[in-house]
Amino acid sequence: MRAVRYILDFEWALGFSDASVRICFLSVFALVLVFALLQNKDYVYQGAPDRARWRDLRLWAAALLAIQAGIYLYF
Amino acid sequence: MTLFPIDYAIVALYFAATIFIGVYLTGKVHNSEDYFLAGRRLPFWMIGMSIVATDIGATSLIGLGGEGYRYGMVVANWDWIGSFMAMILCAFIFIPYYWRAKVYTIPEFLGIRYNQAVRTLYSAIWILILVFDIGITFYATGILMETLLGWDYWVSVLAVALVVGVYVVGAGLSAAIYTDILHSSVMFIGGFALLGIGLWKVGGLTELISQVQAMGPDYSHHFSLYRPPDGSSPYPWTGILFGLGMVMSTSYFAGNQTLVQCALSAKSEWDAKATMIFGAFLKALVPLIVAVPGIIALVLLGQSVPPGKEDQVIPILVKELLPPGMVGLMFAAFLAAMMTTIDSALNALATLWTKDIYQVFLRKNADEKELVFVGRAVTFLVIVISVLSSQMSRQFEGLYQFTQTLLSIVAGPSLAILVLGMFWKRATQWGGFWGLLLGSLLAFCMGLDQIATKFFSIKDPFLYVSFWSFGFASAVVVIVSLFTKPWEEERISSVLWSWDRK
Repeated sequence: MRAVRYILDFEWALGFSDASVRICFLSVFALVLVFALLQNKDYVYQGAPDRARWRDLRLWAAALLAIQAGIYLYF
Repeated sequence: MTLFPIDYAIVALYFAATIFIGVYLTGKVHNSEDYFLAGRRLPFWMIGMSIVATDIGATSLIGLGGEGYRYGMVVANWDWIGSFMAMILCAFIFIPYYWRAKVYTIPEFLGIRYNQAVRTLYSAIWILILVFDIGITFYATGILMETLLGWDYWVSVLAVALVVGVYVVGAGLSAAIYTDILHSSVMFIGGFALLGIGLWKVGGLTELISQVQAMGPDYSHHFSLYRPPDGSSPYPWTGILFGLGMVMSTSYFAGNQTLVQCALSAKSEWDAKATMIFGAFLKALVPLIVAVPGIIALVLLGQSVPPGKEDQVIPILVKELLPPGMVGLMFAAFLAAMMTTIDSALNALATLWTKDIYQVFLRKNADEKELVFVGRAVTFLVIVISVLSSQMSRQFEGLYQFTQTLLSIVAGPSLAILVLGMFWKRATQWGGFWGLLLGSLLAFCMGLDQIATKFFSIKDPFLYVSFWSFGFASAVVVIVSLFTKPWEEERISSVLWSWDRK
């Protein structure tokens, strides 16, 4: 039971330093960014009336994640 | 608290504008697509604003302000990590597939991927959640007005019910979205006014930070987004990252009929995708108008607000800081927050009932006129039932917690069947059904006090429960799928993820 609680309650993460925690968060953000950037261009623009650069949703995602990374580095 | 005539005038004008929009749009409804999906003709920015308004709701505007007072910036996680990643993933994965399938509901999509049993179970769960949610929001409206202004409970509830009823019964989703633009504008204008005046009053942001930190060690983490998993905070970083960031938020934005239905009203696939990312940009601003005012209240009011009454800090701040006129605007914002929750939930519930239950089991050959009539009738009926039963919430102190717990119970299993259904072609119909059912049962059991206290150090471990129930439900889907026969790939190819998808 103690071992189960150790896992379920994330007690194994108690020793993580502040820097390690931030690295965990930023790593997850980076993974999402990579996923977004790997999207096929035709798929991204599907249904758009034109292929103007501002309609590239990968750029929107990148900007959003940059904001998020900045927030989670600052606070 | 007393409102001045100008405040009442602003609230009255706001109600009038809302009703006008609803009445005007009623004439534009000609079929079920118009009623349930706004004719699939809306641009991304309108829907994005609506999604944010719907999501903010009464609990965020007032509840998170109180949480900000008590716990600090950590509550901003709900709008930051609790939104950005999930909305991006939804924009590129789930929303385009829902949109292309031309479905009305998420259960309908799951019915294509899995089977009718999964569709019906998912729909039934969400109908139950929405019924509770609407009733509680009416109750919260009545209590808020009763407590702050001394208004009669029933006057407040009936006023909101009447206004919402006129526009949602009449025009469905398009009215909900158009009025949500008005609602979100009012919320942001009022919220930023409160923020600006509050920051000016405390001497600026730097002064706010130093005054909070000078309050002692209990407040030394008030400006940190990361709290340790040692039971000292209900929002440990492990729960925030794994439970909220990965599971609950993605499940919420991908599996919540209320929000997804808005995205399905987009005029094109690109608009449907853009809706989510645009909405995420707006979500970035929300903590500024909910969490930070809570911290400002901590400095201005001190620790005078008794524990358990922190929900009152934002209304108190409004009364203390804002001049006449602006108070009316903020109260319009509070009412807007209530109405955005109710209008979208009503529309989602009507759609789930009409398309997943009525049209499937009762009247397969119902024509468009009948479907719109049923949608309107259900909306009206739910309003009446919710208003009449709203007082029941008084007897059950934990009913609001119950609704949130119910949401967290299904978050993990819902996400499991959505993700596996889309990314693993071997996932079978019965794998999906048993994953959803057993995953939800496990989450329910884990949330019970007798069990939760054995395994978790925090009082309401819903963040952890959602993460572990996601893992368990995924395992059930995999195991059952390996012992049951899948659909032929051609049958489900349109709902399977592909990197080469154009």
